[in-house]
Amino acid sequence: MLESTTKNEKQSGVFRLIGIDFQYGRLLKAGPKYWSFVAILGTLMAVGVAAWFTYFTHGGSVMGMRDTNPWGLWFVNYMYYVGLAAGGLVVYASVHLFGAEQFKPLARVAVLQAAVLTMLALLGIVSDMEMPWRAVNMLLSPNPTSPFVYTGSAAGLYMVLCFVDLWVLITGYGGHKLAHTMTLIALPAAIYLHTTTAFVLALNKAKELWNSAVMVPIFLTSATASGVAFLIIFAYIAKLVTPQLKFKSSMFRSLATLLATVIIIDQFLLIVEIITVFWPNSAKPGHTVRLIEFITGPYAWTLLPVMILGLTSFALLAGRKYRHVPLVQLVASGLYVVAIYFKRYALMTMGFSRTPLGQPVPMYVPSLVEVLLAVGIAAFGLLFLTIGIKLLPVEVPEDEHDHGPGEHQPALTQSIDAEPETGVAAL
Amino acid sequence: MAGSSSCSSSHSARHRLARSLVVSVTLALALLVLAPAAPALAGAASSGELLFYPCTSCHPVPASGATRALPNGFKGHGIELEGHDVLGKGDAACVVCHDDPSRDPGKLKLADGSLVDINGDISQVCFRCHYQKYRDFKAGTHGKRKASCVASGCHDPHTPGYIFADGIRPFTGAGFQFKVLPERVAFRPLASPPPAPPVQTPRGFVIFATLGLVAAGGQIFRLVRGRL
Amino acid sequence: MSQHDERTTRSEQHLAEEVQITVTRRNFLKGAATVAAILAAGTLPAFFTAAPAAANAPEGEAAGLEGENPIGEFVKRDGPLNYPGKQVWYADPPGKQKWAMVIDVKACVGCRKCAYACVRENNIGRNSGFTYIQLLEMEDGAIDLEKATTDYNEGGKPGKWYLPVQCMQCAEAPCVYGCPVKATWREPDGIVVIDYNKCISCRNCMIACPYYARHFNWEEPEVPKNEINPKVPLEEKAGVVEKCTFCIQRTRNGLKTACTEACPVGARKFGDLNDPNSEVSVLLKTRRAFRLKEELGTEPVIWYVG
Repeated sequence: MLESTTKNEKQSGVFRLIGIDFQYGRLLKAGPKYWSFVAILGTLMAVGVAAWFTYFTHGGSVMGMRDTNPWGLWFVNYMYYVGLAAGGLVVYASVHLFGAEQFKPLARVAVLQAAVLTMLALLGIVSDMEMPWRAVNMLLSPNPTSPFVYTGSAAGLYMVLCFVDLWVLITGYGGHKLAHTMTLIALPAAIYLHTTTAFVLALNKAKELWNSAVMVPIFLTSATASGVAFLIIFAYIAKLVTPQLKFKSSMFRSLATLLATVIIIDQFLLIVEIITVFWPNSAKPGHTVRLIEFITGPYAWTLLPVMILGLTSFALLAGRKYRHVPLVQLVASGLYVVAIYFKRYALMTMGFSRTPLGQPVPMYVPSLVEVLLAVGIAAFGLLFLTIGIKLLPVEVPEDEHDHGPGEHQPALTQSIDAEPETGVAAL
Repeated sequence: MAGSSSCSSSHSARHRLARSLVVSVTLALALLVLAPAAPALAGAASSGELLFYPCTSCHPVPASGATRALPNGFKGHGIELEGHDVLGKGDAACVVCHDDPSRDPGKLKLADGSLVDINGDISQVCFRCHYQKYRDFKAGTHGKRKASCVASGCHDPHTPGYIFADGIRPFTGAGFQFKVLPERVAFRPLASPPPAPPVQTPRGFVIFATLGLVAAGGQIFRLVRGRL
Repeated sequence: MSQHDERTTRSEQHLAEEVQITVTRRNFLKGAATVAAILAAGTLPAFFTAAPAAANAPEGEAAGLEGENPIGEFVKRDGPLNYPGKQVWYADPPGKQKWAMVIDVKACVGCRKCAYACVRENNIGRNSGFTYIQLLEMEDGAIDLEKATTDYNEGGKPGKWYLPVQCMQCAEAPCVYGCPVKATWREPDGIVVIDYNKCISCRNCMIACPYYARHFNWEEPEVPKNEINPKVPLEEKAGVVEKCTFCIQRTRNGLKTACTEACPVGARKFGDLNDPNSEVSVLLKTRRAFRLKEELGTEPVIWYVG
């Protein structure tokens, strides 16, 4: 199927490699606004590379982390990206596992999102290591009692899995069966990845605030919710950029319903944790002290937005009447994506509000190098996604089975979408 | 009286009377002198040297009583007695450790009554009462492993609750420089924990980053404004 | 006005479109069962790692209460963790000792001489911003770490007591369990060491340690040339984690740790638990001792006596 030549192969603007028709013609036809956006991302990426270079030459002192705050922005970003990646894939996997056909058109976009975001997460870890070449030690002498090993290896394998899955979806290799099997592996892998990330925090008895079994479900629900929210935003943008994508508004409504459900479960788990800590004499005193300082101390600005934004976004989506409105969906998704970032940041700084010996700790402020490195990595990811949705054939063919160019290759310039374009300027 | 004259009997009777008078007067005078010293002798395990040479007449207790210098000019001869003042009142406390019959304060009494020189193993003197601390000291679990309790510079024998700790403050004579137990007295310790290294942001990076961010910002601005 | 009509048409269209529900109950249950099965399979590695640990655990707490010498019981359970068998390059191989330290908090006056003797002995960078040993000034009457302070300028204050804290060389060290690359392990004689060439600077061990014992070299450690101790590594420590090693270069050669020797009041005792006449064994048998954060089950080998 891969090697068979069809009359579409010689179509202009298409470059075939490893079985995928790269749509570079579509890319070249993109307007100046697209390219200026790419240029912005490229500049930010260059700044990020400069930051990484500075870290290599000057060592750890350029970072804002110290013994009192040994983990910083990079771990917040790791948790966040892993969450987004895992969440997005839940949506796609439900197509195969639960037969939710309405999410079918999202397939390739969701998998692309998952693959790129996991790559960003791994970049975050590697960028924090002062000697990244030593990462090979994790393969040579892994410690089976360290959750870090499980999460690192899970992230690496998951990234490879997602890229392979994307390739399988686009080329149609193995047909429907292989795609189904890969999903059977990918969804539990996504859940496993985020569970192990939660365990990196939860299995530390030295940190009373993290050492709670509810950390794992909180991570899973936050991941799913933020992943779905990000997917909604990304799908709207992809629809804007690549008009060939046929996303029905009913699909967005399903996504919004799913998002609302997961948001409320997420907020519920957070409230459960707070009640357990603040109920008189029910939590370890160190646990309560730290959370009180968190509500009243210098870190209050990180925890309060989580609840405020989270409940607002739920309120926006709760009403049946307005759930279908794209603006409402976008605003709610945006709010929740931001809320979860605050939550990750709050969780990270929560653990370090006091040293293990009970001494108060000065507030962690990420240094300029740290922030720009994170921005650079994010820009790289966005760049990958931006070029990816133009270059890769991310639209799913209309017919039932996900076959590749060997069989039913729809002409790329033809638009068989019955739904009118929702007032979008073609880029 | 030049000598005894045994030739004339009337002469010898007068001599005998004079002799007995002298003896009785001497005895009376002696009794008069001894009387005030009698309380000092009560409970003392030693002979009467203390009658004539009570320790505290030269080494006043407390040390602030040493207002007058000794004939040789030395003024540090007062003794502070704290903790060990429970051993007795006045000079009675001194003779518990310092042996009086030999009139040598450099000899100290051990439990079996024998004497030990002040340059010898005088920890045995402390052992007479503080047998548990001494057992721990010999096992190495009390304080540091030193040659003895007192002469090695840990405990002052007259104010044993005050500890000389090496290098905290210098030991200057009979003064009591450093109090650890039972009452703690504040002193200046070594430096506080060092601060964490400050966050560096190299200038080259700041310049490059500013340029990049300004460029990106400018592009964003133009994109948003719809012009290119 | 046309725009308004367009909008209403659009929203009507959206409302009119029905969401195609294709998830049947059967599909859902099938999917849920598959996910559950795969998740359950994912927990299998935990059993493989937990089984050997359970097999080696002692026969229960009752063994220690039946009048047996509790020190002997501890010594039996004490042992290497993740030991790779290779020798620490700047120290002799381990002997048969079980090192322990006992600190007399009645004697400690908070002078910090131990902290700075350690800095000189172990090539701790003068710019690194940490010391292996920290002194906590505690309030009388409780072991309340939250009310303690490390930043005091007067030692020996009445109404306070002083608690020196450093790496406890735990028998169940959370840092050893948490290191992803086994760069830190516990030697057979009880000392937890770090291989500076293997450490990947992930700082997971610093998160795991409940005693704030592990420190990271954010800058290259700088030691004045005339104060460098040639017996201890210096350059290798740039960019990796370091901590107290019970002066492994001294104790394997029959000396005591630098902090023990520096203490002016003899508050620190270091020795071998296997020797019933060593100072630490005698102290633990005759005095009332406690360990810090005992409830965490890390089994530290530094005791405090009062």
